[in-house]
Amino acid sequence: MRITENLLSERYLYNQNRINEKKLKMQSQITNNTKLEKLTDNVGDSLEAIKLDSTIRKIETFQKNIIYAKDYLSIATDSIENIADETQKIISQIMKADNALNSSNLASVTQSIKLSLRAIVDSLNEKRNDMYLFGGTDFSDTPWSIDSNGRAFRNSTNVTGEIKVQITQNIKDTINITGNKIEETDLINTLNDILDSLEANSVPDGTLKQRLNNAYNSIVNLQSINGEKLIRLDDISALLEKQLLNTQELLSKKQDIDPAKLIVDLQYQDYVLQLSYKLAATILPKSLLDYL
Amino acid sequence: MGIGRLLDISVRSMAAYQRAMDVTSQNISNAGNPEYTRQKTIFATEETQAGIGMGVKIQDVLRIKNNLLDNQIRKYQSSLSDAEKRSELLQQIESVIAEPSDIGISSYMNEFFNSWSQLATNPNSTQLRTQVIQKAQRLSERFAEIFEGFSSVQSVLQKEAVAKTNQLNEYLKEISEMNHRIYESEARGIKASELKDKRDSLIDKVSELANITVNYNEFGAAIINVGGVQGADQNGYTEFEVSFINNKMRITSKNDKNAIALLNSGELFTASDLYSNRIPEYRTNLENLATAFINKVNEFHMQGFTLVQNGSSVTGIPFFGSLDIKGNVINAFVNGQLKINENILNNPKNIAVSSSANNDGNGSIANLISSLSDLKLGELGDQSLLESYTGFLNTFGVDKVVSDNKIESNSLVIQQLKNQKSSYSGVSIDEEMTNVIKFQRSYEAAAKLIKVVNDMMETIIQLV
Repeated sequence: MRITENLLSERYLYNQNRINEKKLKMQSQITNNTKLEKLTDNVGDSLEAIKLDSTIRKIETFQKNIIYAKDYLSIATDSIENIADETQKIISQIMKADNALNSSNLASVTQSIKLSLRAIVDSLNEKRNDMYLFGGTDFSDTPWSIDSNGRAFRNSTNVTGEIKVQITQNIKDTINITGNKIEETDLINTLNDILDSLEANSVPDGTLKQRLNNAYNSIVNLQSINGEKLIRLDDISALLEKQLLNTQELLSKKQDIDPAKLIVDLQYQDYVLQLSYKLAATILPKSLLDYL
Repeated sequence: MGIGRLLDISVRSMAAYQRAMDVTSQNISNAGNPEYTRQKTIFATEETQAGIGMGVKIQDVLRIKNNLLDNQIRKYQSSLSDAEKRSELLQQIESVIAEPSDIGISSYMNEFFNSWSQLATNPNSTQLRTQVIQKAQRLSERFAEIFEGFSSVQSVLQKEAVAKTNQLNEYLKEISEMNHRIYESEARGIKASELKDKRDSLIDKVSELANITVNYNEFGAAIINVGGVQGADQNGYTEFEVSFINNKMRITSKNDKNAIALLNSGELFTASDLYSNRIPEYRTNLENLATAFINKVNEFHMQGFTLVQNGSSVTGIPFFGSLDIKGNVINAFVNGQLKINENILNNPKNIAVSSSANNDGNGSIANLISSLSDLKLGELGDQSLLESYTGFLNTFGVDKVVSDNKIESNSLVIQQLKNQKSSYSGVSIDEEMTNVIKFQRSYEAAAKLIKVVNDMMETIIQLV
């Protein structure tokens, strides 16, 4: 093969250009700390990265939803606890009324129970982010009220609505205790009946006391159901955290660079480039002309 | 045999080597000119009619050219130009698509759906409702930017096609003129090597614009065929122009619109293919995606009820677009933009996320819309929105990667072919300098012979 000067210089420039292209790519990857600067750096890995990123964003949203749900449940649990405390106070008051020494003070017991009932209704009407904790999903009216006789009654026509929150890809969890669940405890009706009895100057009978105890137990039961839900949310949150870490690791493998390897590669390319400069400086201009 | 004949032989030799030196010096001076084709002096023995040697003569000055190699280079050059231009333009689209990143459609689409999931936790939150609107606006802007990117590249392609077609016409005109001069020179027996070099260089440039075939007639004129249409010969050339036939960009003869160049490589092919086929395909893919997205969000949203306002909630409100008097959704997707319902933009309470009336705390519809991200949609070929979008990205990405790979492989082939061409037709300084020494020595020897003849003549004269 005849080797001409043009052939030498073109070949030299072609190789030089290839080395510089590689260097440029590596420099850019090091600067941006990613192998996937654009889609066509690696189409398959880029699409995989998009899917992984989508999964990460979803998990992060589920985590946010769980934080919100836990906050909502905690507040509701606190309210239920208040209701249970007030109910406990009422039970004590009734025990007091049972005592023959206090039979003349039924009016003060009645007043005390009315105050507790008001506190219970206040707790039942509590809000979080403008949403009634126990009012279902219809917020047009305050769920419960106290009438002029000091009796509690349901104000809102519909308190059955559930607030459902997506906490994993396949799980939507109800985070609120609906009003009908409260009604199922029979607490409000029992307290109204107790007040009726007291205002009729009669100490609540055994049946009423039993209803009150049952209502109290049901309220405590609701509290423990909420507590269980909180624990379950903690478990799911831990699971999501693990999923998040795994997915982030997968994404990192797809897109993050290995700086040490890349820097060594870059240095090697630089070395090759310098070598080719020296070679070119030695070989390219030489011809027979130099020796004549 | 007379002594005078020796002088004739010497003088002829000196003339021949001087001419050979001319050729060599022409070669040396063009060593750095990549368009130049080296010339080679062919010596022959001068003979009398009786076959007696009369010294040396220059039989021919050959232009060392390999047409097969040139045709190969042009073929690959045409393909390389197509790949380079295609890659450059697709890169413009790629930078607008901006994937994978936090500002791509996939990212904004995820944020949009996740904002609905968050809204379901607290459906009457104005802040979360505003967040849904903001995410929808961002997504809409991204779609609009990408569609605008398509239009902008198409506009560039149209201008480039016109500019490149004008360039093609210029080249063909020049080639035709040179063909004419070459034809006239060669017909008269005059070598037109330099003109041929210039013309061949122009043919190379034409091959960067379109797929061509080149044939040479007996007097060295090149007959150029551009995509099956006669482009130029020694008698004239065809003027081409950009035409639009059935919304497809075509390169046709100015004088005969039916003479359509069937292009399959070169920059003009890139322009017409991207303008007429590839970009419309990308656009259609994304439009289908956007339409399916809008329709599905609207379908769910229209089932929902707004927050209670003035004592009641409202249903049947589309999230994108508005309703005409017949109750059909209109203006949801205009000029590549997803148009959010003005009533929602003006009042976030009109986002309808409750599955029943007057239930501000019900976020069932928000959960439904959020779950759309994973829902397989029949109109997208039983793919989810993200799958359909990644399918589009895959098609686009493969097109770009194929172009990039073509650049790599064609560059390598062209490099090899050019090496071969340079090896065959290029100037080697070593070789030429060796010729200089050889011809110089031969010239000196011929001159010395004259001196010897002179001495001989003198000897003879002294004898008298």
